[in-house]
Amino acid sequence: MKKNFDALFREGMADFSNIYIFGHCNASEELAGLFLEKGYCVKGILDNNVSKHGTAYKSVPVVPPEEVMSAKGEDTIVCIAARAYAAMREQLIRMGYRGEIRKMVDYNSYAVYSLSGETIGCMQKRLRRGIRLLEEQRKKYAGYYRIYCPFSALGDVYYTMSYLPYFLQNRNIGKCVVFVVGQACGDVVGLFGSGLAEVLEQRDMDESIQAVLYTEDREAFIAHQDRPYVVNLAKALYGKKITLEMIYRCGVFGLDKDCTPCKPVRLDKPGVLGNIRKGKAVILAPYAKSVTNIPEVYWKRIIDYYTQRGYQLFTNAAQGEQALEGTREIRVKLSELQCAAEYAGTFIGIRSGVCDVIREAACRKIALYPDCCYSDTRWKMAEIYHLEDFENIVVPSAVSE
Amino acid sequence: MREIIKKLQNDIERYDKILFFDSPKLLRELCRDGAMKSREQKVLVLSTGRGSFEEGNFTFRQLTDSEARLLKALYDTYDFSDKFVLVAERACYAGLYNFVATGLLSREDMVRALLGEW
Repeated sequence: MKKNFDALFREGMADFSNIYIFGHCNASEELAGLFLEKGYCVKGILDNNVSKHGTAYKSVPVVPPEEVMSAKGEDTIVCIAARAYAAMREQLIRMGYRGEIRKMVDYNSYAVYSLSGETIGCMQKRLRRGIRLLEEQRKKYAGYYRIYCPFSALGDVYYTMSYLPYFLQNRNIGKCVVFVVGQACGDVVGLFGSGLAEVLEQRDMDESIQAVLYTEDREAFIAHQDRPYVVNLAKALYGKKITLEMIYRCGVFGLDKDCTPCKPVRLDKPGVLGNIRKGKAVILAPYAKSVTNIPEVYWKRIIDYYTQRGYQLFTNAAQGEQALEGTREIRVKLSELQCAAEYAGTFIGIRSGVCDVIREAACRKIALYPDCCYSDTRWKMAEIYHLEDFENIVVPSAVSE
Repeated sequence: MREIIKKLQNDIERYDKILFFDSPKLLRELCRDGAMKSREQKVLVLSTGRGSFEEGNFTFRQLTDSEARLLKALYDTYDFSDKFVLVAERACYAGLYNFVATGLLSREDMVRALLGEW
């Protein structure tokens, strides 16, 4: 996003009088922050979620999308950092918006909505790179079935690993290797035993997957609900409420509704247990990549509540993340997190892949959901990402002090 | 190839949705169950079977094998339009038919999902 933001300035686009951002999410907040740091005024964050209207990120109000029509098109730019760029762009055009629309984050390298010779040539070049990568992978893992997890999301990989053994059994597959993006996802694979995992960069993953499609690779499987574009499972969510767990169980892997997920087996004891008061500590996990943040004031309330009752409070913080005020930082490996949570006695996290990683922990587990919908469907996040054995709590967008 | 691209560009402009059935068998199953019935959207259905005709807002167009091969190769190279959907049963990824097989969706629901009707 920073690269695209800098490009925006080089092209003079930030000199528009009216700057809007469409879609309230973490990425949009980050983008708003970048504009504000440069001294620019962001008129509003447009969002379809009515419950968010009237809230604000720093000085930027969250407003209905129609608000953009109050400004003159030629003086207006709408920047989109959220995932559903195509749907948002279409909505703006349908509304009659004629100003500039700019995609700030490229979540989808598979799509270029053009059939020009130049585009086809460029995408064919991309495909050829992918085919070369695929050949290397085939050679390196000769005799192995290849599983591709297209997206760097701990939860997606967790679900994949939970149901993969049944899938392999159904297809009479002996050994496999799982390709993931990011070492953390590789660590999730490791939770489930001695399975082989290889970490790829996102671009290499996308191109390898494109090659799998093009060659109709019969020794590979892409394990995801909506990546790449050929996978249509998530379209069902526009009409039916299907939890993510069921999407993976029945949709991705074609298993029975009652199939029981496999559990992690490679769990470690962290060295920090000595610092944790057994049964009288809380591990907080307030950070998530692709989910709107829970308001700070809500975390403060949680921290105050438990502090008053004599609990120790820890923030599970990865590199670059800060411990919440009033808590101590705890840094454990993913394989150690379940043990740490059980020892502490209570885990409270924003609904993210970290919640999936500790779902089998024998402790009090609370998952916090922002009050918004899953993608552009009508279902709430809490409905789609619901976790059994957790207290699932929806946090209102506007929380007072 | 250029002819096919030009035709495709025109179709993308003209139709709300284009469903390309890799397998005539899958298309037959959906048609038999009445899932592919007349709708508000203008839909183009491409396949190597079933002939060319119109039924309400559905236009069925039969492709030659080489046309189908080229179209599939293009689609497998990149996502060139959000209106174009390949309906196929392929071993390397999952499809909506898994939901139909496990009872989470009916065939009618599957078509509605493909057409983005919800």
